[in-house]
Amino acid sequence: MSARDTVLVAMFAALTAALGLLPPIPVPVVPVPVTAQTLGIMLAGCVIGARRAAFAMLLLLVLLALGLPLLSGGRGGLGVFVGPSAGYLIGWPLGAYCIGALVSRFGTTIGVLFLANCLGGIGLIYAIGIPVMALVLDLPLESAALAGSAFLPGDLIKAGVASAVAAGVLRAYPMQKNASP
Amino acid sequence: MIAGLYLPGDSVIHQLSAPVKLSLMVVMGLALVLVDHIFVMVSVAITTGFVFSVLAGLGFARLWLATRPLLIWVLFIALAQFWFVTAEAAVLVSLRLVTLVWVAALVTYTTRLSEMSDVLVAICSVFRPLGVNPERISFLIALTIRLIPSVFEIVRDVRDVQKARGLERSYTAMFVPVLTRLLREADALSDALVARGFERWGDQQ
Repeated sequence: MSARDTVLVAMFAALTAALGLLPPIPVPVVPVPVTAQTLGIMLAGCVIGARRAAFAMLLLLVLLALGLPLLSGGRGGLGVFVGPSAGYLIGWPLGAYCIGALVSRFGTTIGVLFLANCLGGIGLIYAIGIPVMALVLDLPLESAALAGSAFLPGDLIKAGVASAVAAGVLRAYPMQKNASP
Repeated sequence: MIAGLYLPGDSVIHQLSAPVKLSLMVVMGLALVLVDHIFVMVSVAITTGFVFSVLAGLGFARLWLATRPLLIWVLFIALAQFWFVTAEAAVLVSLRLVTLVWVAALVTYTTRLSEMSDVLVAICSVFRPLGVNPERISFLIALTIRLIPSVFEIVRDVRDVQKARGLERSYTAMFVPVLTRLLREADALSDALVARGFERWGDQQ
């Protein structure tokens, strides 16, 4: 990893952590509070590319495991890795990688960004998070999927926001020409 | 500044070394999966709660704090399991979840951040032949911890600026400047690192 890779990885891990410090945004109709944290995953995937984004999310998980309270609501420590939402956390680096890979393959128009965020940032993360939740709670997969779907409206809004923001950022600060091989 | 979850103390648990505690946690986690008798489960849970609050001296308030985020899940288990299987199964799964989280939280609360990262660096050193550089990983961790408050500061700054312009409800007006500032900052920081010979750190081994 070059110095630039290292700093970008640390910067986006820090951004995702800082977004967890923001107070959750209450959204009408949605039963669970929407935190800005998943926005960090999507923005990392869209802006700094697959490999660096995956490392950034992995780094955030390492910091959590070491005992820093960096999840929204001040949660952290080893406890979050044995709880019901552990699968979602494991999904973060993979989701960020998937978003980055899709964006570098299909371009940075807002439609592509939105689809990448939905596939990598929601689809892939749910595909790992929901079975793990079912396993930890010893529930049938359908009930776990039902519980998980409570987050879907909020996550779709975040995918939209992340795509609009990433499109703006990539226009103002093109990363492609600086991308490491 | 970002503080860890570690709570200073001089209990027996605090004095155990980090690798010992982490290994015990893994063993405990595997053992808990095998427990399928309700009385065994209840006594293991009570013992863990006792070790957490009394033996490690963390108190019942902290135990409650570690349990609270799980209550919604326990309620969900109760609702879902009650009709499908038996009440006993619901209690067993809930107690297993709560106990496992208590054990993990106990390790986090009684182990210094520096001890935990020593374990991480030791694990990473094993992979040095594969190109993993433990020094760089500990640098990355320190850098991130240092950057979190600065990033939060930038987020707050930009939010205040956009509020003054009446744009506090626009997400793009909020996050596009935050991100471009972060990227600019990252460029300056990586130039500073290159100037200090970062590209060759830890390569002499």
